[in-house]
Amino acid sequence: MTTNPPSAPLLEVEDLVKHFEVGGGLLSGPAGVVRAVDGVSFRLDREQTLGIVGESGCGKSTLARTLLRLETPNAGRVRFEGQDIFVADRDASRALNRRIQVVFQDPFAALSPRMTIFDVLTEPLRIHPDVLPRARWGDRVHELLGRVGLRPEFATRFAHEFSGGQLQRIGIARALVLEPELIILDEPVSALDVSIQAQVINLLEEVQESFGVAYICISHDLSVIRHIADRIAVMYLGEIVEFGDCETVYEHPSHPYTRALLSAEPEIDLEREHKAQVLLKGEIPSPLDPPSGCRFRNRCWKARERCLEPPPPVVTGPGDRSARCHFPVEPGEDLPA
Amino acid sequence: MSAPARESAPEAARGTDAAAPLLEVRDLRIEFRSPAQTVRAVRGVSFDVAPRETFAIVGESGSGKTVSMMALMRLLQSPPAHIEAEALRFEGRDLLTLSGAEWSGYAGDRIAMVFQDALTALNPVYTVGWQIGEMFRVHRDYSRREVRERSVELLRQVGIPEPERRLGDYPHQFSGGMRQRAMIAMAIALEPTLLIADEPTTALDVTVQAQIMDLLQRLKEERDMSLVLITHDLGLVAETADRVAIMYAGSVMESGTIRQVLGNPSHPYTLGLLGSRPQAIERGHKLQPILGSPPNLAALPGGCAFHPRCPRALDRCADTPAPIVRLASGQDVACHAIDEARLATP
Repeated sequence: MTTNPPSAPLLEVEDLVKHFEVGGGLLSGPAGVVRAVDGVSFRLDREQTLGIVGESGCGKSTLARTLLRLETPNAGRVRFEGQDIFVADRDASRALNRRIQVVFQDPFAALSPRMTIFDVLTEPLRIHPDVLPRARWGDRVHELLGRVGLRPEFATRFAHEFSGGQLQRIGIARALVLEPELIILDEPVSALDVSIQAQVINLLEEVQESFGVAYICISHDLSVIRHIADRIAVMYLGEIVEFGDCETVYEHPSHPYTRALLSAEPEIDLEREHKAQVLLKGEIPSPLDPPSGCRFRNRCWKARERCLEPPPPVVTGPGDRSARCHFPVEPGEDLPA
Repeated sequence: MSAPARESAPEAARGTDAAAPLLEVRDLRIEFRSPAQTVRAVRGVSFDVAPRETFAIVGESGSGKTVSMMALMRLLQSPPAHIEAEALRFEGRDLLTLSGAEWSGYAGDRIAMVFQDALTALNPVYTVGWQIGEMFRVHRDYSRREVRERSVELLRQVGIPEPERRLGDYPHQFSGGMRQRAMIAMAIALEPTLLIADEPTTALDVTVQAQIMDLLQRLKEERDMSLVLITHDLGLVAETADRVAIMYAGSVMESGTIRQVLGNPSHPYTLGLLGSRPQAIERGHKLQPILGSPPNLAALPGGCAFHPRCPRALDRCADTPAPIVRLASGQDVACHAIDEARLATP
């Protein structure tokens, strides 16, 4: 299917930057620049899942939109199977649209109320007519509905006849129609009820196994990411502050922010009297005016003078592990009281 | 059915007997009627809230957890809402018999509520200070200076920096976490004995959620309040609540102390909820979701509302409502399929 050597990653993101100019009047020029994504780099292999976590305003959704080419980056490069996705010619660009798909957060808003499920699922085939002859559309819809756990007769119904969990299944089926190699999942379960979330997470895993698709999963729910991701990127104010193998990062977080984020996640542990929790000071600063030096320093309990000025170095560990911090958390280090 | 004794029984609370619950809800029923259909949102719910405890109500959307508290606060429009209860007692007085004027001495004053979405709960065209001050202008006879001083003090207590300056800000100038802090300031302004928090942190990021829960716990202790926490997050419940009621389709499925319900979950629905959490399952293994989806409240299944999704359903579950039984471990469970050996001996 591909001529690339097997070691080449599916997706390679290099120093990606996306800034937005905001405010200002007609003549006065922009009042400020939101550094939504500010120098993000990572690699994603085939059939792997990268989880991106972070709080609102950290730039995770802008990153997803940029990878979907809904935004034009200010700088940096994104290569999909070695091809730069922002300099692709018309044909290559169409092919990329087919190969990178998305599942949105709110299934009620993502599906048109005027289209039957058959129309929803075949719209991508209408846009890419060379993928599948029209005579086989019915079979494809049938098969996909079965794959996502829905009955084939649902094809004639409209979106309002379904529950949130069912709609998200339809959203996943739509993303699969063109047999993409990468699906970007933007908060795929956060609009769903707890008992339904688990169904959709299982479905995403089954789909990955049988279709061999890679995922970039954006979520603020750390437990969801821990369950489905192989790699994790923790974002804070436009930067990836920690990256690495998911389980290793969860077990031994090295950036103080990752440590705080993990400790803030409520858990059920009835034996433990008091949980070691880092209560961060304040809230995420405005991305219009991030702190100098380390962007996390004004909320960090480990911050010292050095964090004020030079931006922290990227400390690399085994494999592709990295953290952007002057004073990374050592394993077994005590948390502040 | 009385509340199981808490591990640390609170001392005599203000004006009430130590044994008496602060809030007693008995057989609460709420229906929304329209010519086309009747939505049975709450179907015979009973629970107690003891003085100074945190009582959590857990359930998914449509389980009736919010609507029960809205009914208590008289926030449901009637019609279409029809509210009935055997008793809805607060500090020994039946709230259902209070006149509108009498109720205004309770709402906001003795019982206050914090809502999920602070941005829609705040009025965008008034300053935060004005909205906090309104509590005093409506319920108390304070001078303008007193109102201002107390509002500043409240903002300081809920951890808003530079309260004197922030008082003049409008809600949109506050971040999500600060708005929720302002809502909490408003709710505790008149020192209520009962604070109802409806998903107070669901719209917030986890690090801010931790701050807000910490604040609520601290205020509850400083002010001897009881807290009713409505949430869908069992982790949050385990970390903050004393007792919990698990609701499904308008009924309480299981209730008891945290240790009883989360340490020894017994209703198939509680087990299902716990099993669906990604934390409960080893990586690489499948999650164990509850199959199917929640029922339509206008066309509920007969018998136990959970039976179509229940892995342990028996024949009688489809036509007889489940009885509430007390287990030897202490909690109350509404289920036909409980092993008799597990029941408490009368």
